[in-house]
Amino acid sequence: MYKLIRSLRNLPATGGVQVARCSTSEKNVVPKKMMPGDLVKTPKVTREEIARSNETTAGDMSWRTPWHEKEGQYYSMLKAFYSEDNQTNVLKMIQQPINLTPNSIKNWFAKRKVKTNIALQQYIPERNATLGNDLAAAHFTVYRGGAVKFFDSDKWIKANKFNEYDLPTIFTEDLYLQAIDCTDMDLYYEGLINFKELHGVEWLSLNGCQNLDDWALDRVGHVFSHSLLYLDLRNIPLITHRGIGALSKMDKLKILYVDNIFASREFEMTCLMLQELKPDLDIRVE
Amino acid sequence: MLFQKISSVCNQGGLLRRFLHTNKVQFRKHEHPFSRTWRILGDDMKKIVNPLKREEERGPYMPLKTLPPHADIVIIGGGAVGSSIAYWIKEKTGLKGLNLVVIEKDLSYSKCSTVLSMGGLRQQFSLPENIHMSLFGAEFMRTLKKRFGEDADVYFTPNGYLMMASEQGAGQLMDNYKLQKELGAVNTLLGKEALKKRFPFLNVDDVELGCLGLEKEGWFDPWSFLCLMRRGAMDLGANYISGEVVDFTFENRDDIYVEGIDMGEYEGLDEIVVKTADGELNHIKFAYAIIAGGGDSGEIARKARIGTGPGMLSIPLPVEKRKRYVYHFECQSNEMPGINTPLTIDYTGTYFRRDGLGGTFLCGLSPEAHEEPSIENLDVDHQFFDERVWPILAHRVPAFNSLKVKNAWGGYYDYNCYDENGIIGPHPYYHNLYMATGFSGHGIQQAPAVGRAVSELILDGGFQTIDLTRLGFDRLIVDKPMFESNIV
Repeated sequence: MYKLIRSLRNLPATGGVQVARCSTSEKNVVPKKMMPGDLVKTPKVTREEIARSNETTAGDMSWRTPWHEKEGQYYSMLKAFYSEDNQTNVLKMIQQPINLTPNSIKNWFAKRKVKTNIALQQYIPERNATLGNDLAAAHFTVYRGGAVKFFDSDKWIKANKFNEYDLPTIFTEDLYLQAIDCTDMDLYYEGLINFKELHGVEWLSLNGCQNLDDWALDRVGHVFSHSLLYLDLRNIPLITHRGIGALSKMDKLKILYVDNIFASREFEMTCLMLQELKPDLDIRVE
Repeated sequence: MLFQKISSVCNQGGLLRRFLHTNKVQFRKHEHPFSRTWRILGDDMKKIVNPLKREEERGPYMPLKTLPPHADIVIIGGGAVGSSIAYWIKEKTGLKGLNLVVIEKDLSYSKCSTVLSMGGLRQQFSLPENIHMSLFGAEFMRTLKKRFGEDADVYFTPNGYLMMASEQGAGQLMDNYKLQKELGAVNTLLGKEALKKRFPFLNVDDVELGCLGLEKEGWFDPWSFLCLMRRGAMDLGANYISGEVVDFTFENRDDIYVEGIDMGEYEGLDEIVVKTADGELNHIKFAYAIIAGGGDSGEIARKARIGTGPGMLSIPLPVEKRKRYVYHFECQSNEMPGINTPLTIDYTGTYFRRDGLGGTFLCGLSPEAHEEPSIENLDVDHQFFDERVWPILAHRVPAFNSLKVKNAWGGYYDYNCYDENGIIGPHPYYHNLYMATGFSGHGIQQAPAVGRAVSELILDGGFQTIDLTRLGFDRLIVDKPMFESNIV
């Protein structure tokens, strides 16, 4: 027996809403003071109800037995050759006209290359488990043409023209990254996840990373929020003032390099407000 | 079961059954075979003689002028969800795979919930399905350029969401935080001192705990999103029609056997009746219909006898319009919220966020049940702001003691009276009717995921990526509500 649910309720018959002029457009009207007790709103749904909702399974929702599970019904043995998968993607592929012009082949190849590069930059749990977060990020950066520097060490580590470099291949204690230089690297948003949970990176350069945009700045802002002092964001055409606003998450940022503070009014305002929020911040251009 | 008994009693007098329906049941208009033949031949001749003329008459991205007599899939409602479903179905089937038609009653979208929304994107929900859908929504919006070209942008501002809880709600907030972290959302819990340090403009005397979203949370421009989805769907061959769905026609189907209905008693949906601007009624025969009509979905469902019929059809689609106000104000004090202001949601439900960089903010509050405004029009009640919203704002952010409301507008939530979460999936009675509606204020961020889910249901036969079975219509029948704690 199923219960009828609460039906569409009748709204109270309030005669037309008062469209009075807003009194706050007049000056110096003070709002009524409300005691915290007045503000507390009893939640519409209790914690127990939410927990019970989360515990219901998809199985609870099936109130009808499927046909093949009823009394006297069965699938024939040919079901063994039946596939549940409709394979709509295969169907779509064979319906596409084949385009063999040089331009379309070039486009197809370029798209494939981007996809491959993104897949190569994904997070590899085994790498981080073997090397630890700092060393794994170092390997990731240096392999792709970047340079890294550790604390307690004066030299930068960069690969030579045969892509050889000198980094330990097993976990080493007390080896923490201080600086990451990704200048002109082919870095994607998916690659930034390799920089998570580092000990205390203070210096980061993303100069010339053409593929980064506001979403990437959102991630950079969070991943390096506790320690970064220097950030270089020049020559990244896709970032806007909204991404720069996301850098307010960084607690200790002192030096920020951007292309042009006066690129647009919004950009200028964002830089000003960022400096208001962080008095120690110095936004430089060259 | 009870409905079997009713139908068996009623079947004794075939006539008696007719009287139990409250609305007149319509059947397909009978067309004489000769006139039908001439009509089809005439249409074909027109197509052969001037194929080019038809293309020129209609500019790019314009709606269809002559309505087709049939379509494979009909989507009722062309807002964010409807356009997203159209895009995904077309994306999975290609240009000529399916004949898809989207019916939108107002192509200027003047009262559409999509364009009047705040465009928030957050993962701070208590229901895992909602979190998964928002995570996918964020991924989708990040990779827009790959799908729609180099100039596709929704102007995402990654400032995050801050949900605050009093002592009573702190436990729920912590539960939610743990679930969100488990599913891949990035956020952090902040105590009183941490909140005060991070956001010095806040008054945190009565706040126990706050949860701040650190990645993939913020707000975007819903109008650009809608335009992108529409253009994407139209580029792939979806057709938009300007018209209003006024009715469905039915057809006796003796061959369909539905559990709980006696053999031979099944009446399926056959065509939809669309009223165009000139008052003409057009019939469009469809294979699948998807109700994505926002606040109007409950009424559209009623035209398909959902809620007024016998048995399974007696449960209505509990989606209705609820008016919500958004106020746009300006505050120029020195201690006003700075550039790092997230979309702050107080434990009373009042929310505010920055809008641009010049000290302008948007705010709102969902009214209590007893003070729900009338939905007849979108007029704004400024008294509501003075009496309910402003005191809370001023209490939470002392700088808001002096502000000036510049503008205000009202928009409709497609409010699900049952449990304030979306209803996504097929209807148990009709084999060709799907629903994707009832999102109660958080639909815009879930539109990409819902579009993909419905396309998977129709084309692949079941959910492939995110399992939304628990959000189907069946939960209304078994009475297992899927509640969400963070409804704003």
